[in-house]
Amino acid sequence: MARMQVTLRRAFSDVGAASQAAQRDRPPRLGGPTSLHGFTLVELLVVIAIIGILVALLLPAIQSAREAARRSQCLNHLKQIGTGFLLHENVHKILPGAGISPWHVGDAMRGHGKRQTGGWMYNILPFIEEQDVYNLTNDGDPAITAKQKAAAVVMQKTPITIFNCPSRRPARPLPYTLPSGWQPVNSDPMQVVVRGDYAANAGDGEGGMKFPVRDAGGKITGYQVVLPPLGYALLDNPNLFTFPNQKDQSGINFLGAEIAIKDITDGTSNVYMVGEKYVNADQYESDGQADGGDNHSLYQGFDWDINRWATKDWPATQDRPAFDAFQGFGGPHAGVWQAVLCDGSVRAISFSMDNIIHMRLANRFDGEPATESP
Amino acid sequence: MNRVKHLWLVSSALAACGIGCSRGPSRIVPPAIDPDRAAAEAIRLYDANQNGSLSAAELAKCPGILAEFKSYDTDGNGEISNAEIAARIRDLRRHGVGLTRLNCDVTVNGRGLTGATVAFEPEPYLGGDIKAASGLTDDRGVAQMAVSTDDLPADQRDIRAIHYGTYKVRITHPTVKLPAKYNTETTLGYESRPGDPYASYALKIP
Repeated sequence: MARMQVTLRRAFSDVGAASQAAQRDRPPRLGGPTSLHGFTLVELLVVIAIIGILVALLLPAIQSAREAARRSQCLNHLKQIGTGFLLHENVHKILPGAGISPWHVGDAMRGHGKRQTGGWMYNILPFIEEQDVYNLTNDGDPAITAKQKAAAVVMQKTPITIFNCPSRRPARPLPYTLPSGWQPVNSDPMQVVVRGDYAANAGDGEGGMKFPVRDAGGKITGYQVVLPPLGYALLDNPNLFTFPNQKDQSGINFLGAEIAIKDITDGTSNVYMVGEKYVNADQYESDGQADGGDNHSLYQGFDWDINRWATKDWPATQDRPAFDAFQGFGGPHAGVWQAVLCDGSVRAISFSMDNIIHMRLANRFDGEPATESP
Repeated sequence: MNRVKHLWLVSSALAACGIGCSRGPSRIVPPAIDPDRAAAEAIRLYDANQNGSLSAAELAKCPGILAEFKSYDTDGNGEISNAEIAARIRDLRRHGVGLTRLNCDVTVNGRGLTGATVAFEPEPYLGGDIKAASGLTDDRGVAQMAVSTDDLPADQRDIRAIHYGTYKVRITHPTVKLPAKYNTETTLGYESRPGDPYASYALKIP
């Protein structure tokens, strides 16, 4: 202690001679021995402790202010997505299609609507000022060409800022490590892809990805996943593949959907358009092997990655480490997830909202507009 | 003495800061399994001819492994060894997923079966940490499988989901008489497939 004081005194001995003289005349300090100037270690520790406590009081406030800022930026992303959807509707008279499957990525030569292989994220690119990215796969040939497949690799690693929620992860390429069986047919193999944080509303159909199967009399006998064939030749042959009935899913974006505003009979302000998707909180920046709803690129077609459901079994859920629940909506924010409705308005929706209302908001034609504002 | 007190103050301030920064729901700790011990136990339970590996015939009693036979049999010799079982268990636990949602479709002669109870019984060789799950099929014949809330910690009671694991599946119905091969003498099995939120059982009754 005594040696420390000597050091401290030396450290402060540079202070001007005038002040030294002034201090010499003062009575000894309280708590200090006979020293005339400088701090004792105890005094220094007290100051550090006080600063520490103040910082401790301040830090949570700073953190929550930062999170609030990120949350409102996320809301802004949803607003832009909603505007993109409605601009698409203005131009093409239908909301963006959902694409075909994870085995196809977007192709600028396939136009809009249900024949477009890319999902809604690809479809709205021209309407969110990303026409250049949309055009990457425009090779002037309707068939799948080598040039297009090479361009698709570049496209799949091109981040689009507004497709990621800043509370979860920055928009940047992440490793793609799925088995080769998942390789999109109109792309060369990818090493990295960008993954999105938002999912379009596919409805409240409990089967999720599954569509009803009917017998000859039109009676529903079961439900199964519709697997469109791989490659354009088979896909475009009406004898080999027909799109499922649009009435078989209750959302606004799913395989074969060409939804016009008039099809949203519950009213555009009562139906979700796009919301935040649930992701296992351990897997935000992973190789995508553990979360079935967050492993492909955002330029793919209809799948859990870019479409989500609101059912009795799949309520909106806050991201949680080591919990797998990739069928529904959710997100990284505390207490709320965020969505843009079909009228273009954005909402923060509480996780504690009744799940029945959540399901009604996902259904475009159940005749039951939400009784409670989200 | 004073110094100790002040150091204590500083460290408690830092601790308070740490608490203030943490947020979000807590981690779901996956059930503990020792893959090597579980594999040895599986061989001990099901190796009827004592040759140290399991054939498809022997696995009739363990339909969960049988359902994924090809994924287990990595060397393709038609028998599943101790090492292959351990490797498979390690692979399944690789990402540390604690709970996962699963919907289970039950059809009888091609039609959805309403009101059936689906019970997932974890294979005993996995140890007691993986809990049994059950579900009741709805009007479309779909059951959401869930571990009983009594088996979950207090902060996970609102979750309806199951553990990654290998199960025997038993389906019973209060009025429809289902053959014993679907319940008491079950031939139905399930093993978690990461990324696949569905299991389907197409039952046939004469």
